[in-house]
Amino acid sequence: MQYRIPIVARGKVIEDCEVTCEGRYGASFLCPDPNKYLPEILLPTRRALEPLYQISLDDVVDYLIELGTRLRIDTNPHLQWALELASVFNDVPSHLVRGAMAAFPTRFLTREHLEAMIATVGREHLDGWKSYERSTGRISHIHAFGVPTAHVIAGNGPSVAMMTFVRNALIRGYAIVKIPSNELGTAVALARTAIDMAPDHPLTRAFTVAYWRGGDVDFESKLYHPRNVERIVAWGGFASVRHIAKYVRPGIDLVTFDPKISRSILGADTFSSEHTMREAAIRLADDVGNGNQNGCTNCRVSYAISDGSPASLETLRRFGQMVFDEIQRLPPEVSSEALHMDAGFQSKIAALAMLDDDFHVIGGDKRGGVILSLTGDQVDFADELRYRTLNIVPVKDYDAMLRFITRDVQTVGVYPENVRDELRTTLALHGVQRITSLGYMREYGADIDPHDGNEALRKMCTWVVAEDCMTNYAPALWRKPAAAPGGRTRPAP
Amino acid sequence: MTDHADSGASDAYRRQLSRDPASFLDHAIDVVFSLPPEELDEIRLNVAREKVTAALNGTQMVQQLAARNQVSAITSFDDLIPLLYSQDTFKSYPQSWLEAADFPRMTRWLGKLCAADLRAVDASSCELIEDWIKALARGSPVDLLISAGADGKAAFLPRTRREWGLMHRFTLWNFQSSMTGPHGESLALRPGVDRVPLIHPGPRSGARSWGRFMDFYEETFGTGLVDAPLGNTDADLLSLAGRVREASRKGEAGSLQINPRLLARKTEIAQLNAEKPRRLEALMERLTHEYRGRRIIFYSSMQMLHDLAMRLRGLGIQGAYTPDSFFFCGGGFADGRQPPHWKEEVAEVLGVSENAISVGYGMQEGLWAMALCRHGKYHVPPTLIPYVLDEENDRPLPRIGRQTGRFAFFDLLPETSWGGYITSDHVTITWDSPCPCGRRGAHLDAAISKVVSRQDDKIGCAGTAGALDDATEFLLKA
Repeated sequence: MQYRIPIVARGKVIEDCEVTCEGRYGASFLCPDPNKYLPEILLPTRRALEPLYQISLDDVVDYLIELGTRLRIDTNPHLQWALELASVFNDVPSHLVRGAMAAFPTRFLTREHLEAMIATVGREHLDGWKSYERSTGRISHIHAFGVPTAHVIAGNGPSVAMMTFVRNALIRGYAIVKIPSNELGTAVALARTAIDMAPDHPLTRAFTVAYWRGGDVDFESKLYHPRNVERIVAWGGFASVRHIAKYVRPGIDLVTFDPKISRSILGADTFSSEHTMREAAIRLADDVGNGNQNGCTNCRVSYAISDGSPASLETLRRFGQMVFDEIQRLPPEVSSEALHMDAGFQSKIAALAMLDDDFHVIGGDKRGGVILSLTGDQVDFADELRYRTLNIVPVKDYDAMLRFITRDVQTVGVYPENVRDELRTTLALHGVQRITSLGYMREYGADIDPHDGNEALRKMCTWVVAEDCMTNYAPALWRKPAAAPGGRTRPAP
Repeated sequence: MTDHADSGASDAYRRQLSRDPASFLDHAIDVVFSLPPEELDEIRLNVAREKVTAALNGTQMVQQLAARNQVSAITSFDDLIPLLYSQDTFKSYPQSWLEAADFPRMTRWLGKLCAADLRAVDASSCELIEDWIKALARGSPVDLLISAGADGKAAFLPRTRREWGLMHRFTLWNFQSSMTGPHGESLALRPGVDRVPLIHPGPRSGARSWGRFMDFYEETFGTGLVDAPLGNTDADLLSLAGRVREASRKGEAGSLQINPRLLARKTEIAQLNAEKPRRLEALMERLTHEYRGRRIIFYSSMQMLHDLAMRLRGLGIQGAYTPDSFFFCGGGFADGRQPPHWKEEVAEVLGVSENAISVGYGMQEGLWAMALCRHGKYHVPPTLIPYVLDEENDRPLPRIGRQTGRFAFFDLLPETSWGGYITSDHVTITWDSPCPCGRRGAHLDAAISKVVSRQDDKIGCAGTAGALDDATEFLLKA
């Protein structure tokens, strides 16, 4: 089966698929030549943005809610197609992709949620010109505008495409979405659903989707020019951002959401009773195992306060076994066994199992695993732990843990709750961007709360100020203070 | 190469091979590659079975892999696959042990990867990797090999001196076999008779395996024959290079701890670094004048050989060395592409036939080496069980027809270290169609590249990011 991935450009579906591209697992797909359709992908003129501002923000919200009613997998053929593509090209199991898609209407497209997103920028800034009277008398009217933006999105699930659609609509920008080769379908499905719903709506025409090979210099050097895009929103790590970074110059801002890892902290009280241990194990199992540990919010390392005594290590062994058992009990729609384990990963685990004076390994196979670092050494491949594998590192106090905490750590889950209050400022100063209750790590509302340390929606906007210096006769160099009739006068600096 | 090797020699070879895989080195290349593939495979499987039985009693890592993958009996080549090591195996020690110079623990770890007896090794006073290498050499048969992986962690291979010896004999056998005149007559070097300089535009000694072969060459053919001007590759610096790359990637380079003894050698390392271009230039001068018109053996990358030839041509030189000279190269060209007809052009300038330029394939993890035959194939030696694996899931592809994928092998030569290894090379093997050169058995295409993720613009959100840096520079600024 040869899959065909169209370009959807400004409300038109282009199905002239003539280029063969390599996807994962040896599968390939066809897509149109993006170079040929660059004129369709680009905004023809800035005037094409005007219709977006002839509608109100309420219209935008209504449009998105209406879209949500059409995003039901059982009735939407475009989502069904995207789901099929994910099963071929993505290593996230299909049922997890399905679950994420099914949540689109309730997770992203409720009025309450959209208003909360709007509030992060301020409705007054998105829907018109908010006035501020400055101390000089100048009146500043401020409006946040969406601009032509290239979104290089991540493919570790379908939600990134959905989030990008909503963000672009709320700030009324023009999005050119570069879809990743492991998540080819969702962005296209959203664009096509919008066309089915309202083909000529300015928001439908403001969401363009295309596949090109990341790093295609011919295409990207034409696309990434300030006359075409003013922002590049790039998901992905050093390798994927490196080739984008060379196009950044005055006129193009880069907003990056780089890969992150997450960890958790288990305070001494965790181990004070059987009940708290059990509770923490249940929560931690979800943080480790949900979505099969493919995400940045998954826990990969837990720091456990321990005096390192044999009794304490024995407790940690028991706790590790509890976590392992709870991982096995996660419902299939949340998590499942690995289908294939990389040989290199296996040999790393096997080596640790041999070093049994220093590491205690529970499982460590397709079921997942818990590695207890008996002598306090975090495993070297902590950032690459996968297949539902957790490293528990005993630390005598929080100071001993801080050397492991860097800006690469996005989320820290804590248990019990008082650990957050005690550590949040310290963790923040070490680069951590989010601290949450253990068991809630995947519930990341990055569209409302700060996203990887960013006020993302605000940052995607261009903030324009229209100044009125005359109503109050704000002082100017050429205006002698005495000559200002009725104005506020103040001495020249 | 003849189609039918002498049958008496062939019978003796067959008998010896099943008892001692290294015995093939005593035979001529046409005898070695004359066995019917099915018969050879039977011998290989029997030897492999013996190796596995021994390892299940003596090598903890193999025991672990067998237990984790429920491997109890070896009935086919595919049964060996779960027992293969990978690059990760040789760097599966905790980095903090190395950073804390905890070499007793490093020794315990190393001992679990092999069957060599390391109990008498006293590593308690080691501060640097170089010290550890010496302590291992004093207290055990291990002559440690270190290599720095792309991900920043040094890999350590517990190879014994005997195994090194086998590898050198294999390398020598390979290039002696390739040294033939225009009519197929052997030009092999005769110990005690031929004193031919071996020239290598690289380090003379140290962490890399090649330095040891140069020692072996001088032991075999006479001292003072090697000309390799770039000094010593320092194991600690090599390891530091990897760590600097990794730390920079994570934005932690500033907090990297450098061993004070390594730091103390900063000036010396800076000086060596600065001298490199001058030393290489001096070698080029020697190759242009002093060695001109003489018989030489030259080992380098294809790129360096090409550079040398282009330089000679630029000076108007044709036929620089005697026709019985020999050039062998591993590694490719800097941009990964071979210029068309490069061998022909280079041979003309050097004054040799194209046959005298031998291209080889091998890796530090195996004791084998292969040289391209005249028809552009690498023939799998009898001591190697080759595999082509599916690059996505490491499952073996059938041993028939032509197959492309990840190369893995089980090397039958190692005695106490483990010969099974999954490489990161992307190869094509032809299993059952004979090569016109007459050698029997499986052969690899000349085009070998690295396995890359086919989907290299895949983006996920889990991981870490950062920037790259350079090790020596880092050390010099520290």
